[in-house]
Amino acid sequence: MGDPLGMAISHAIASGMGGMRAAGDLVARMQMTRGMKIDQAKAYVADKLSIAVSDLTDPVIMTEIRQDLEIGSMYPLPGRFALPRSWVLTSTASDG
Amino acid sequence: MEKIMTRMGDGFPVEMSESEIRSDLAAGTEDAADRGKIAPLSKEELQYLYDLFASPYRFVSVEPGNEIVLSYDGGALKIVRAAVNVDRVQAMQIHEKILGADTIELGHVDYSFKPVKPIVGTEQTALEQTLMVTHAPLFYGAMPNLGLYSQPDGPHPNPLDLLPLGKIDEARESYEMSVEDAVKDIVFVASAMYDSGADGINMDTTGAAGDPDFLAGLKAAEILKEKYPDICIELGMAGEFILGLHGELDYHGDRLAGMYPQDQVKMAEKAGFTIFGPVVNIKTSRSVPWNLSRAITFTKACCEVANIPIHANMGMGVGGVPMTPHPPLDIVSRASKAMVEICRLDGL
Amino acid sequence: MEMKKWLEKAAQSILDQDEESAREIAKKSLEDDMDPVEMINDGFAAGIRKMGDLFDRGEVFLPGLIIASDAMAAAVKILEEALPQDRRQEKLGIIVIGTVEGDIHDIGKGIMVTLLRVHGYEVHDLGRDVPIEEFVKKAQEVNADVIGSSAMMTTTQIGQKKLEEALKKAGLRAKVKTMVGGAVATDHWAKRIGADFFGETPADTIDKLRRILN
Repeated sequence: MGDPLGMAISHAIASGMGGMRAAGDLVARMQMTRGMKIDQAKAYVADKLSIAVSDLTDPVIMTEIRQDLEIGSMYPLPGRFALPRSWVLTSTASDG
Repeated sequence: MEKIMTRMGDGFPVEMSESEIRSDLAAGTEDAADRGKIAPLSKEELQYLYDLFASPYRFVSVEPGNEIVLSYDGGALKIVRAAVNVDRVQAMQIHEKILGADTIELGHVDYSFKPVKPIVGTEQTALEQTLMVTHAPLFYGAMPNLGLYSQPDGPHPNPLDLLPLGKIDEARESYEMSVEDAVKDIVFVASAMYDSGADGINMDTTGAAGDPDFLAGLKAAEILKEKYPDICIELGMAGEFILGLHGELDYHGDRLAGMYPQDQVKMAEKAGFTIFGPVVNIKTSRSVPWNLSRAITFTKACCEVANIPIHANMGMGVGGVPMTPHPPLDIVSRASKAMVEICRLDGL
Repeated sequence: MEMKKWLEKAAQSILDQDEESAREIAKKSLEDDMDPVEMINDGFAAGIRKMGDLFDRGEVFLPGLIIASDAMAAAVKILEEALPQDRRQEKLGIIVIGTVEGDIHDIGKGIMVTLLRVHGYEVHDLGRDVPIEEFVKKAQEVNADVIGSSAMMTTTQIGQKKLEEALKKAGLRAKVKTMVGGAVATDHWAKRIGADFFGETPADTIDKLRRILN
């Protein structure tokens, strides 16, 4: 429990990965589907996206990547809103 | 001597000297080490914590590269509880797009598996709607809440009425019957939500009703994992040790009552959980330096033995975060940074 | 055998949850001319206090506490029979306790009730979702020394404040002590609403009760 401002925003900025502003949701997905620990999950996602691990929390770099790959962005382009989840499901089902 | 502003476990500000903070940090870790029979924090870790509390900054953060996954429990309910007029689907979108959530969680206002069972169809619909408009991995969350299975809320005699009468065998039998009923409800609801597309199931506040409550969670996970080998199940705890209300329940030969996080996580792994969320309760009458040092000691011991990702609970009143509805950012950010960096957490 | 040894044996019988041994020690200590009051307070009761601490640390479990408390009661009965009426121990105190109206959480309160009984208090448990007037009525009926209220949520916590006001209105507030507990209660909250104290854990509550009632 706790109010979203006092708790959620404080944690998000102090230690979070940034959610879909960056690659937090993708890294979380690797923990959930593969049971990966944080370093392994970050390395896996960075490798798949062909970027450095440090780029995973960078909203400027990740916004472009997400738009290019159509994996969900904060400001969806017309006609692109519903694409991301189907991409993710296909991707996680077919990878190793 | 210059005083340092910090806070008590109830969130109120307090000024402490350097020696008072150092003394509380040492006492906090010693208390955890003594209770959990684990190693206390090292001198370097205590120094790190002291520097953090002595830092003049209003807000602190982890160093770049140390960021972790931020998951939310009860996410659908908190915005609604703050009397903001949004529905649950909108609340999920707010968490994802406004609050920086890496995972989101849908839950019913009762937040227990049992009351969801008769309305599971409407919950599935809400989940499916949420999936259509969000991107982040979506948990469906609820509590085993074993209290709902004994009178007056459930069919079995109330063990807490029986125990004071010395009816220990009857109380234990009631707990055992409650466990079986709870397992059925958890498996039913979790299966329905997973079939509807939930990315994961969060059994939250597990162990709130002691060792039977914890056992129900473990047994349900075992069944779910066999039914759906790829399912993600998170186990969120209720307290730092398992209260022994039955006292003799075991899981594959290990007695559950009295287990601390480093042992709880091994049970979670055995049952098939994907993520484990340890809880360390706050003592409101002690300072945050004491509480945080203590919480980190327990959590670190858990992280060191875990083979699955650890998402520590750091909400109101747990994990070094004060027990107040509006935890201030000076103390939440310190707790967040320290817990993540000392324990090498996988998530919050 | 010297007194110190008897006290140790008495405490140990409680820690061992061994009623037969507790009875035996009580009887034999009397035959050895030990002071029954000392045996109760510094022997058997010390054992129960230690059991409460161990429960707080997850090293002893609720059923074990009940068995230990039965062992203690059996030993105390034997020792008290050897005492003249005027030296027999009065009840430690009469407590009325419940979870406030609108709140159905009673596991923590239930554990607290058990521990209070184990420590020798007379407890009247009103259960959960208890209307404020019932606390007041029961306190009058049993001539309570203490009223304990539990609240688990910020939304129901206000009931603890209403109880303070109801006790004042009924002219009872000066006659009873009040304690608050539950996940959201704090020392500050107790002071703010005028309650006598906040019980953070069972051991903390027992300790504060002993001090406030003495």
